[in-house]
Amino acid sequence: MEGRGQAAEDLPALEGRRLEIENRLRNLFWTVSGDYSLDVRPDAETFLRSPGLALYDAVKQGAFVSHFDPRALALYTLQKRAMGADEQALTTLTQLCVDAAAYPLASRERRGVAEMRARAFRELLEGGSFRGRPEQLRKCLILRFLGQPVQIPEELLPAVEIIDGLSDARDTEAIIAAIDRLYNSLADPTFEALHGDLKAVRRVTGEALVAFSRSQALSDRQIQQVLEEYLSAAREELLKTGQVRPARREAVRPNDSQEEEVAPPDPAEAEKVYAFIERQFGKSDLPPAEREKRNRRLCTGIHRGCSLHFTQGVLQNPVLKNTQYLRTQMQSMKNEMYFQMKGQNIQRSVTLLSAMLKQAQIQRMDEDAVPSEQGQIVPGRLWKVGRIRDPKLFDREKRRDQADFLVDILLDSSSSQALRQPQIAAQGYIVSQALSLAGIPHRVCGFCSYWDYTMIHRYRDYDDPIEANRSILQFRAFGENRDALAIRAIREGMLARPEEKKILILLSDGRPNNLGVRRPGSSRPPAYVGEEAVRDTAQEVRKTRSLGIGVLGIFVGSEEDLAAERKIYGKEFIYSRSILSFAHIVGTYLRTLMEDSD
Amino acid sequence: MKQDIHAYLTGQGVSEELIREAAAFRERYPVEPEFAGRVEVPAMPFLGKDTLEMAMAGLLQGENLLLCGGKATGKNVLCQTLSWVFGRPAFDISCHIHTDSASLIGTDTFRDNQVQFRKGPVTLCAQAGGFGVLDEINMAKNDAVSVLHAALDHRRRIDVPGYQRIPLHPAARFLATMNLGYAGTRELNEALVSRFLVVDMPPLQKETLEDLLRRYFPDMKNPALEQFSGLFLDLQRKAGNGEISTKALDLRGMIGGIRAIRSGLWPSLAIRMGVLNKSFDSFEKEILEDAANTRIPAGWSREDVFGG
Ligand SMILES: Nc1ncnc2c1ncn2[C@@H]1O[C@H](COP(=O)(O)OP(=O)(O)OP(=O)(O)O)[C@@H](O)[C@H]1O
Ligand SMILES: [Mg+2]
Repeated sequence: MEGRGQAAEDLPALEGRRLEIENRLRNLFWTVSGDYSLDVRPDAETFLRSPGLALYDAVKQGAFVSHFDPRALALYTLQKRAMGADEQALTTLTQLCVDAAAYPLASRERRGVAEMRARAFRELLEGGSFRGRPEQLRKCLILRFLGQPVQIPEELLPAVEIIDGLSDARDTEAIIAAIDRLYNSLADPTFEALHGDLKAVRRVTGEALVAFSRSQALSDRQIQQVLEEYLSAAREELLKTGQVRPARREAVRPNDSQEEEVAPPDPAEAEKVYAFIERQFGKSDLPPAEREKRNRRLCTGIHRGCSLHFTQGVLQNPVLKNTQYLRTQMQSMKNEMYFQMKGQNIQRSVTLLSAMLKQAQIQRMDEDAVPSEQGQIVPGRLWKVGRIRDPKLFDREKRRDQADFLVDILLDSSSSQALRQPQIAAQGYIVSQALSLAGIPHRVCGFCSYWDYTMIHRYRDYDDPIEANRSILQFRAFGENRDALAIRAIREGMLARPEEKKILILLSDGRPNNLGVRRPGSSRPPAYVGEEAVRDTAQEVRKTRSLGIGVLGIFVGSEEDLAAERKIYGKEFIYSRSILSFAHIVGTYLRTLMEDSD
Repeated sequence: MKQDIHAYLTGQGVSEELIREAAAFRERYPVEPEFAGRVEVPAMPFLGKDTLEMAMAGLLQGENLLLCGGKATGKNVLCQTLSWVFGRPAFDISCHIHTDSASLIGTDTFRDNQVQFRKGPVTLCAQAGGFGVLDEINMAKNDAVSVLHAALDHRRRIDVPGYQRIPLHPAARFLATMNLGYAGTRELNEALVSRFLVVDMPPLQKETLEDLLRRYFPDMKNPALEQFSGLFLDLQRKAGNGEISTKALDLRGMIGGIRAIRSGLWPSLAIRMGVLNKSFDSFEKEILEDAANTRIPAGWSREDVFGG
């Protein structure tokens, strides 16, 4: 914590650094594999602790994937585990075999790799723990490579021989066979007798694998999807050289080998984190008791362990004027500048849009006037007097209060939006201004996630005066996005309002993504990514609709996420290439709704 | 010298017929003594048979060439080589945003108390029957190069406003180069491109590169040669994929660096000086450095690179 405490104060810097490291590792991987179409998930966390290890991992992975099939390898380990193999031991042995097979290939082609491996090994030696026979084997191999004196125990000699035999391995099957032999001899000599040999392991079906880690019944396609996700997740770990644990944790809890996953939240730590979040994103709008209650109510299911932070932003409600405050101020100034520059266009858009909305409202009023026995007299009908039995000389206005529409605008403000912050701010402002002029109560919020917190930044509330719209120009993109939780939080506020027609408009730029960077002392909620996150968000949207709220998703992002977005928002979904049409899309959509409703 | 040209062309595997025609060209158009200094023997001639043959055939047909390719694909070396092979004086005309028609064809100046036309490089080249190298032609504005249209097509002349038309010497050719994927490059306009025979310069191949390095450093050890050329190809591929800028893609820099090793500089340091320092972006530098580290061990010394 000490090490990070200082750096963490400067969030954007840390975030930026992480991206930089990932890019660096990815590039090294590409350099070696030579195939820039390959996808990798680089491990910036490892780099921060042991740079040499992370760099060597990237090299080795690059070499491995260009000669072998990591998917087949991952599949084998899942199969073996499904038959009862110990994950820890199997992972270690796989890592050793992968390294043994990939290193000679990499170093033959690239003369610098030996030095990189030596550096990685030294870091591993310092920070790793070598308990159990597979780890002992690892230590022996490391010492031998580093040229340090090592007495390889008698019982490990056959294993060393198997490993050495991999130096000219030509295919993945040879590696798998070696791992299997190592596991059955070193880790669990009873395995073969109890569960079967390698052939039996390879016969485990995908269905069984998925069932092994999940109990729900799934369709074939779902099984395939889940399996692919497992495989790609497993790959990451298997292709590593080893894991260096953070030194301090090791010192505090020397006997707990899996403390990373199960660390209970430390209340003092949680306090600090909350204080940190407030400093970075602005004070909360809610008193502590209410905060607690909302978190309990809303952060359930897949969001258990998360927290919501309702705020009007760091500029509105700062704790202190720190770097984050200054950066936000800077962004806000940039937005202002853009706004000034485009002043005329923006003004014109506002006028057009508000005219369109007002028009739609008037039209509704027209249609709502029905001939009646009382109300407003219609001179053109006076001829009917005495000629027609039931003349209905009047129009009765079924006119409703204008306030029967309620609109919520929710803007994804995660860092993927960073490139178009001024544009989003301006578009948000245009919509809001037009709604204000048309007298439609509306709220504008941004949402983003950092660690296990999801921030709901309210720029203007439903009944705020038109002047409040200006604060949308404080829009700033930062962090990740946990869409479904934000939708939940917003929905609660909408349901509490008296208006009849409620519409939630969401600006999104990609699939939900909240890995939740590990932070000290928290019950880290599981990563919120991939298929699962998409499905969950789709469910949240459906639920919102079933509660009588219209939900329109406007997606401005890259086409690769289009399918996921469509899945989330279903029929009410608009894809736009440019953020600059956001206001127009919203206006058109609202007008159609107003004209259609009765 | 004639001997050299012949040896070089046959060494590259250029067809007999082209070699003969080039020789005939040289005989038909002997170099005027005043331009003899402009016909240079390249220190390292261009390597690559197909490109060379295509360029030679084009020039023999009276075409002007547009050499298109990435950084360090040997565009300038090819120009130099062609002017040597055809025995014509070379005129370097580098193009940039400030290039205007006056700086190309010439402009009025005041000399000897009267207004005189001072010829620009294009005009000089046209009259001398030289090879005009319009380097990075795409960096010039379209309206600046439009004065070349008449010189580049069948009209083969230069129209100087206010003066008589200047016809092109029959041996005059223009060789334009164009960097692809260069920051700030603009698309060339169609009217200009259509006046050239476009020659695509292939990125350096492993064999060519190793051949090249071997010529520069006959005493370099094989493993070292493989690593240096491998590193360059790594960077070339990286730049091709847009992961780094082309700044570090500097073969001359690398060759200079390797030379410094011979004078005692540590190889890992030499590479840093010759290649990595070309980048001023610290992120990019890290990426370059990582790639270099996989190739050139910090422990290498001069003896690992040069033998004997
Ligand atoms: N095919 C080749 N034959 C000989 N040398 C080559 C070749 N390709 C590249 N080179 C070498 O690469 C270096 C750069 O060559 P040159 O300047 O001609 O490239 P260029 O394409 O003009 O690059 P730039 O885009 O930097 O102007 C020179 O040192 C040259 O010797
Ligand atoms: Mg050049």
